Order: sequence, then structure tokens, then C-alpha cells
Amino acid sequence: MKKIFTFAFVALFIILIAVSRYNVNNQSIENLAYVIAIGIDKGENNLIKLTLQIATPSSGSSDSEGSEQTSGATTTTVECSTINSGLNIINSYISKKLNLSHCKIVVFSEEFAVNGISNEIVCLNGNVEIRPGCSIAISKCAAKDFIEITKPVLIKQTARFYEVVVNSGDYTGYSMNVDLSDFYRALHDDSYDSVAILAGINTPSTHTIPNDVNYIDIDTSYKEGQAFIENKNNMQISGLAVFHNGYLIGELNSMDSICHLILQNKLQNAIINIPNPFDNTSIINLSLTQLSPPNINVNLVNGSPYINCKIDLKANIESLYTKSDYSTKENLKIISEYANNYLESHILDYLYKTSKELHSDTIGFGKYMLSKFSTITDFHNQNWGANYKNAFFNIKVNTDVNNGNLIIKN
Amino acid sequence: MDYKKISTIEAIALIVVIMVNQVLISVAKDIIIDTASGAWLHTIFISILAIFLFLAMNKLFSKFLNLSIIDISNFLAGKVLKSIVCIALIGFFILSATIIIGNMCRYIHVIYLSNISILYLILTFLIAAIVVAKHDITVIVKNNLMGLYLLFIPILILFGVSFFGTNFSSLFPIFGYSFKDTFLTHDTNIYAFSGLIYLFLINPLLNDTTKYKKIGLISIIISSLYLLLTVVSLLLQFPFSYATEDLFSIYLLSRILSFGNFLERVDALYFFLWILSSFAYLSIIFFFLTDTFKQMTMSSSRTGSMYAFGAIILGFVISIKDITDLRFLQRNVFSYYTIALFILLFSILLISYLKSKKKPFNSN
Repeated sequence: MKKIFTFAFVALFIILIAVSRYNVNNQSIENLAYVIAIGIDKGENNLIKLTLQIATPSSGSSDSEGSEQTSGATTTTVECSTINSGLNIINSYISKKLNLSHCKIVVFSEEFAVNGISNEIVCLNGNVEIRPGCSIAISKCAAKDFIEITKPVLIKQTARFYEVVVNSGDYTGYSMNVDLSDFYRALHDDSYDSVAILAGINTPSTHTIPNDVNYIDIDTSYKEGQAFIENKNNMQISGLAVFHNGYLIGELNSMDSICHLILQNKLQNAIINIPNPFDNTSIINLSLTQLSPPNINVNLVNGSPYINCKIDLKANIESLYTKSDYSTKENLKIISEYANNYLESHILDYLYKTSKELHSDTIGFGKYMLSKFSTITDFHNQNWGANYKNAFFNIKVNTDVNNGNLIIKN
Repeated sequence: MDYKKISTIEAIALIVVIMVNQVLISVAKDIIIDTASGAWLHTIFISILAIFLFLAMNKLFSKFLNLSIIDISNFLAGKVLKSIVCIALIGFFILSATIIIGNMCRYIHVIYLSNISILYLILTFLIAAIVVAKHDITVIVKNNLMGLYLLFIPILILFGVSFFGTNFSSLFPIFGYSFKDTFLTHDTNIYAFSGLIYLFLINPLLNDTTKYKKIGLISIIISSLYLLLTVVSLLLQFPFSYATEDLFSIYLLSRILSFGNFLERVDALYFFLWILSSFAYLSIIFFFLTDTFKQMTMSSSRTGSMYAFGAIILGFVISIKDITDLRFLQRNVFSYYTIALFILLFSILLISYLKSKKKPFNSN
């Protein structure tokens, strides 16, 4: 018994000394300022312009409307040479200690990303506070403007708003949530390139109909900010930003994003328009879902990658017009063939765009080559990253079309 | 030597916890750094090697039931060899304790308690280990068994999540950097199975020494599976070049885990369980350390030397400046030390076996 008391005394003594040396107040919840979003722009007087969106204490329960700043949050901007020094400067300015453990999104401006974001990604990934699930987005406008102008309307909590909005691709297919760990992994992997969420501000001045687009494709040809939307929430996420070795090299529109999701076996739901085979003045809406993972086969033919993809999708017809008849197998088969041709053509466009135009293997076809080599040296010798631009593709889509309406014949 | 005896399952848990802790101090990461995508094949190879080594040990131990390698060395060449073996074993235990405390305290310091001096963390580990190790082996193994039971389901979930929906192409090219790297150059990674050293000492502790083979085989197979699953999970989740850059790979694996929006950030729970398992490992080390010293000096109690060894280990841990020193100690000192110690103990066992064939051993 005496021994137990001796040990308990020694243990208590050490704990007390440790606690007395440790400034508990620094870490208590009321002394921390939780950063919700980080914006990184090219600096005017220094290397970077760092913008932090910080949750205000009332953000959880406030019913007041967002005023000057985003509802439940305030923004602070500083010009600095690195992210960490920027955080330090802001720490010396605000009344609380910054904490990044609830940061939901890191936004880079397009202007900044074209010069490479590898250093910033490595810095963020090494920070213990930032979670690997924090999203990475590229903004067409300045990241500072993006963060300041974004006003959540339907969701009061700004952090929750970001969480939901970056995952909107799950039910639209127009984008895809790319998190810090995904991006960092792609930076270190020779067999594929990274993408990021393409985001922007949607205002009347940014509304555009892309050039040379068929009327059927208009809805899915928009990138961020281009769609004709009028709403208090100015933020729009649509499309993907394409990277190669950490440098922004191009953008993909909403349809490309759907193709990207299909090939990555990540498509949960997307609505596309195809020409109506029974009436050339109308369009059929199909709600697409992935039926099974795509069957991808990559070979080298005369030194060039030859990529075969077999894709199985399920499509529900969402639109109904007068004289529509989706009750016969023959009609569904005709629609299925139209859908197959339409999707094959768009997936090929997307793949040739990544290969010939962007030289960036965003799908990760290089991974399918790994098993064909016995050592990493052999794989590196064929230089997949440089050879991808010589790739040619064969796509086979099989769409299982069903009627998704209560009425199958009108 | 009279001991309170331990059951078969407790003995298996005692060996398995060593592998759990070896993985914590980045053995799996080291294997990936050495052999890249061939790491899983390399792991299978060194596991088979470990099983063969144990089977050979088991054959040699068949003449020395109830005896540890310390008793056998005494039988072979008297007190001088016995003292040499004991000193070598004490060095091994001190090194093992230094590495596990050094690593865990630095992980905690970097991830959670950067404001607290690392000295307090080291002291907490040491005091907790000494408190447990003051009790007899049955208490230590029961504590260890409880920790392993707690760790079992969460670890299975972690592996399951890592495997689910991933592309197994990351396991290729099959030979990693080269065939030579996978099967020849880095065979020193067998130090991951440092539990083999404890199998030289465990015989006198067993309730039923006829189960020695079963205990050894099951514990090595479980340890191999654990190491293999960790290596494969890391390969599937991170590119192999990533392994050279991180501090605590298996922790990064737990950071990607979440169950929807209602259960996020479970890495803290994993960290807590790993701390428990490292406490159990430390108390096992302390038990064997003080027991070896007791046998060497023929003293009546092993608790007297406990504080002295605690102070020595504290000194070693404090003298390690940073994680680079710790990595050097683990990769360049501990690995070769473990292999050299295994060769020494195995040679003694082999020679004793041959000697006992000519002149049967009388334990009395």
C-alpha cells in the first residue's frame, strides 16, 4: 500500500509540474480562432497574399443575416512570404490563436496556381492541424474575392456550407471533391496527375455561353461562373482544374467532369441531355449512374499507349414529351444506342483533350501499366508522363436505359 | 528459476505485441522505403524466413524444455558465457525501450502536446512501465492481452477501409526497385521479427512447454499477417515515395478514416490504443530486462534494479536529439544488433544441442 502511495505521489508530482509549465489557456476553445477557409493569391508586395476566413463565435446559433462579411465568419488578409509566416503575422494581429483543424477548403487563385502550388500543398499537408479531407479548389477570380463574396444562403454555418457544396458533384456530376490527401498523393505518384475543384463567383458579368456548343450540350458545357444563374449565393462549383507536376495547365467543363467521374468509377448521379431519336426538335434527359467499375486495359503499341475502356452505365429517362413511348424494348434500345454514341463521343473528346492538349493523365491510366513491368526502373524508363500525349483510345459504352417516370407512354 | 506461469494465449499475445510496436516505430515504412512496390513480396519472404528460423529453434529447444537461453549458455560454458549472453540481452532490451519511448514521445509531442516538454512525456512512459513491471509476469501479460483485445477490431477496421474500393495496381511493379532489393539486399529487415529473441527466453514462463512450437508458430504467423496488412494498406493508400517523407505512416492511415459525418477524426482513438500497446510492450521489456539482470547477478529480487535501468533508459532517450538520430538508431544500430544477437543465441543453442547429443543434459 505504501508503495502505491509513493508511485501515486511521484506521478502526481510530475503531472503537476508538466501542467504548470503548460499554458492551458492557449489551447482552450474560447481562446482559439477556427479557420474555415484559406485563400492563396499572388502577392503584390510579397510572395503570397493569404486570406483566412475565420468562424465568429456566434456562427453556430446566429439567426442574423450575413451582412458585410460572410454569415458567421470574418476574413483577414495578409501579404507574406509563406503560409506559416502569414499565420504568425495574423496571430500577432487578432485576439485569438489561429487553429486550422476545422479548415474545410483551401482556395488558390488561377493566377497563382499556374506558377505551381506544390510548395504550398506540401506545407499544408505537413501541418498537423489541417485534416487530409480539406478540399482543394482553384478559383478563376482572386481567392480573396472568392472567400469574401461567397455568401451561404440556405445553410447558416459557413463551415457546413463548404462541406456540402464541395460534395455537390455527388448528385450533379459537374465537379468532384478533391481533398488535400488526394492532391498530395497525385503530386508524388508518377502514374497519374492531379485535378482540383474548379470554383468561382457567378455574377451577370461572368455569364457566358461557350463557343461552338450544340444546343443539346449547353447545360453541361459550363465551367464555374458561366451558367446563367441569379441567386444571392454567388459561388459556383463546376468543372475541374487540371494539374501536371503541381502546375495548373488547364480546365475541364461540367461534361468533362462527368466523363472523369465515369472513368474513375466515382459517378453517383448526373443528368445529361441526349438528342431525342424520335423527335429531332426535343431532348431526352437521362439520369446516369455507374453500373460497375470501368474495365480499363492499357497496352503499349509501337511505343504508344493504347487504352481500351469498357464502361457500363445505368440511365433513367427523366423527361417525358407528348407522343413519348418508353414502354417498348425496341424504343429503349434505340435510346440506349443514342446514349452510348453520345457518351462515347464525349468521353473520347475528354480523353483526347487530356492527352493531346493537356498532356496530363488525370485518370491514372499509368497505374494500369505498372503490372506490366517487373521493376520500377523499367516503368520509369518508358516515361509514362511524357508518353501519355501519344496515347490513343478505344471506348465502348453500354448504357442500360430504363424509364424513370411514373408514366411510360404519353 | 521459479516463475508464475503464463497460458498459451498470453504467450502468443506477448510475442504479437512486439510486432504491433515494431510497426508503430515504422518498420513497415522502412520496408516500403527499401523495396517500394515489392514491399509486400519482401514481407512475405522475410516472414517465411522467420518461420523457418523459429522451426529450427524449436527443433534445437526440444532437448531443453523448461530452459531459457541463459540457462543453456550456463550449461554450455559456465558463468562467463552466461554473463556475455545476459549483457547482450540487456543491451537489446535497453535499445528496444529507448526506441519505443523515443518514438512514441516524439509522436505525441509533434501531434498533440507540442507545448509540453518531451521530458515529462518520457517520464510518464517510464513510470507507467515500471509500475506495471514491478508486478509478476502474469499481471504484465494479462495487461498486454487486454490491450491487444482492445486494438484488434479497430485495426481490422483500419485495414478494411484501406482495402475497400482501392486499385491494387499500387502493389506493382511486383519486384519494386529490383529483384535483388526485394529478396537479397534488405533481408536485414527481418529484425522486424525481434519477437524471436523473446522466444529464446519464454520457455521457463510457460504453463505447458509442449506448446512452445504452437506458441511460436501462431505468434509469428499473426505478426507476419499484421505486418503484411500494414504494408499493403500503406502501399494502397500512399505512393511509395510518400513513405520517405512522413513521420508516422500508420497514424496517417488512421487520419483518412471517418464514418460519414457523425464519426470523424478517429485517429485520436487509434493513438490512444497504440499508447496502451506501447505501455504493454515497455512493461514486457522491463520484465525481461530486470529478470535477465537478476539471473546474471543471482540476486533475489528483480525490482531493485528497475529504477537503475529506468534511469539508464531515461538518459538514452534524452540523449537522442531528434527523429533523425532515432531513425539512425533504429535502422543502423537496432536492426544489426538484433540480427547479431539472434546469431549469437542461435549458435549457443545449436552448439548446446550438439553437445547434449553426446552428453545428455541434466537440468539438476
